[in-house]
Amino acid sequence: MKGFAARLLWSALTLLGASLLVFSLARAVPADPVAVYAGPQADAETRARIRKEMGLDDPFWQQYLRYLSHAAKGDLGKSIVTSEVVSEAISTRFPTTLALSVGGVIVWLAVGIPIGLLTALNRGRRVDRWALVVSMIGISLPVFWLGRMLQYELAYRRGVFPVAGLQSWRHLILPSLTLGLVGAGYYARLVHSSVSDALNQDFVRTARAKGAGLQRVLLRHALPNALLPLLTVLGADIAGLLGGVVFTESVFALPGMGALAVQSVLNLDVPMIMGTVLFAALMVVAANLIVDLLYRVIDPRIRA
Amino acid sequence: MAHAPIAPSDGTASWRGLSRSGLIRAGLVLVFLLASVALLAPWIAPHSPLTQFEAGLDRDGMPRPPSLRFLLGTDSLGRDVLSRTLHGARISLVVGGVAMLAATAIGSMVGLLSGFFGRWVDASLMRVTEIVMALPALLLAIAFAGLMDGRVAHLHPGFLPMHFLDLKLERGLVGVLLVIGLVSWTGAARVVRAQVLSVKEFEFVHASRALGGSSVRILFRHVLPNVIPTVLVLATMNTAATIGLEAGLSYLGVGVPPPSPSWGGMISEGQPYLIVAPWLVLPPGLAVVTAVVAFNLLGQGLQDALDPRAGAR
Repeated sequence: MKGFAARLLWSALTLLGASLLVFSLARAVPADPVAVYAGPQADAETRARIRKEMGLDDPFWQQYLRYLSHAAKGDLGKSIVTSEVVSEAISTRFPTTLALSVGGVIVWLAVGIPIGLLTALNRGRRVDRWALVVSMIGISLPVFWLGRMLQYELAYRRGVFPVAGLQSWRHLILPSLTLGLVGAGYYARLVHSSVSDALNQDFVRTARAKGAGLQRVLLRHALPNALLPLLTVLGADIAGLLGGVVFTESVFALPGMGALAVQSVLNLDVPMIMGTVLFAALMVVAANLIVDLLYRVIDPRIRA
Repeated sequence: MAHAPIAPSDGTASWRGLSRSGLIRAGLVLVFLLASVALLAPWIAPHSPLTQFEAGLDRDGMPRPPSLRFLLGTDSLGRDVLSRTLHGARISLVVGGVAMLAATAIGSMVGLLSGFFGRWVDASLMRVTEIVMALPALLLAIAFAGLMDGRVAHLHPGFLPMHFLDLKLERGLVGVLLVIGLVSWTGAARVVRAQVLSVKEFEFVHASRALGGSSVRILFRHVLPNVIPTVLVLATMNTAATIGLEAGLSYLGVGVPPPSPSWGGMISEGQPYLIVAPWLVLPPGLAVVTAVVAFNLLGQGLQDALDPRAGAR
């Protein structure tokens, strides 16, 4: 577990670095929080007073350390537009985003693994080539466009799913499908290549020679071989998944963090933007830690 | 997803079969088509992308469906959808291309230095890369594209004839280029670094060092040329990703500002009319898909062609 402790420490440092980066960028861009907070009619005197109250006259390091020490206590400040407490705004919206993300990952795997297996068993045949073409188009679809199309066809016209909003878990099905279908092709190819590799290897041939059925070979030998690469890519994709979540929430009017982030950007609400970006970074780092932990469970070589 | 993941190269029969039967060719044809449309848009588009035609709206002020005059119909302001979609190729390719160049240049440089010099250079550069990777690129991009608000940079390329692309690189556009470039370089950095690490162990590099070749000489004469194929593949796939990212940012209203005919912006403007006028959203959506598929196909084809692992089988 020594390796894991080092990872943990390193994750904390990564977050620290991310906070410095985000803080610097927020100070470097032209958008002025004072102007947003004070409104267009404020005179120079009022602006100066607000600037002082916000602590924007202090040296950069002082501002950063103050932000950091508050953030460490879970205080990310208050929205300068709605006065909402940033940490509360995030915690009320986080469950929606988490549910949607999990839904997306489930669709990735539920669509990707079977197609990957099917194409690995039929390498070079027609079904394999078509799956490749469809995967290629799939990973190239803009999430927001696919979302609108599915929403129009399946929800509005056919009424299979609710159109938008979040009143029950059924409202999350179509958004999860949207999110998942875009990345599924990638996972299909990944499973395809790891399983094909495994099927060519000696231990699988031995198992076959000893009379193991195809199903057993696939489930016991070939699929576990695909698990580690799958996990690696999954960990790396969490950050990208959050990107898809932003669009999906926007299309289906889900009250999640992505919608919050977009709204606060359009409002030029600097504290809220920094809070959501940093919290997202926390999620990515945490997800990678979990993946790392799973890795150790699955692969005994790393545990040593 | 905003950034198209790089498909794994497994060099199996199906991939290679497809690449032989034309993965690269299909990609090239599509890219060529796109580039031609972008370049020739003012001549092939039947109307101006910005003109609001009085005849483009019906008596109730609603967009008109496809007709002989407006082949793909008109949008909510009476503008010709076909002309806007064709002109959209310019924005998409320019933003995608420039942002890709920025991202690939930053990423390759970081990867090259990191892999070649190793030790503390490598350690510190890779730490920075990891930090940037922990920040969700899209979230970072929308945050800072939005915060660029207010900065206007009229960057008209005066040295080019005929207003070259007629693009005023305003507020959004410069911000979008910067932001996409700044969040998209990490993948390239990691891949180039790995490539450099393996090239560094080649015998001719050892030989050159033994003969007294300086670091700079080895870096530019031996390592760089061997990394270029990898960079080429990355650049192509990065273009697919940046085109998707630009469309996404414009869709969210923090990308290329209206009235410029950006595909993402067109989808966003058209979606309130989806039920009564689906022709507003379909063409720009299909255009984005085509552009992203084109560069993904080309990138995958190149990767298959250049991957020695695939060739060996």
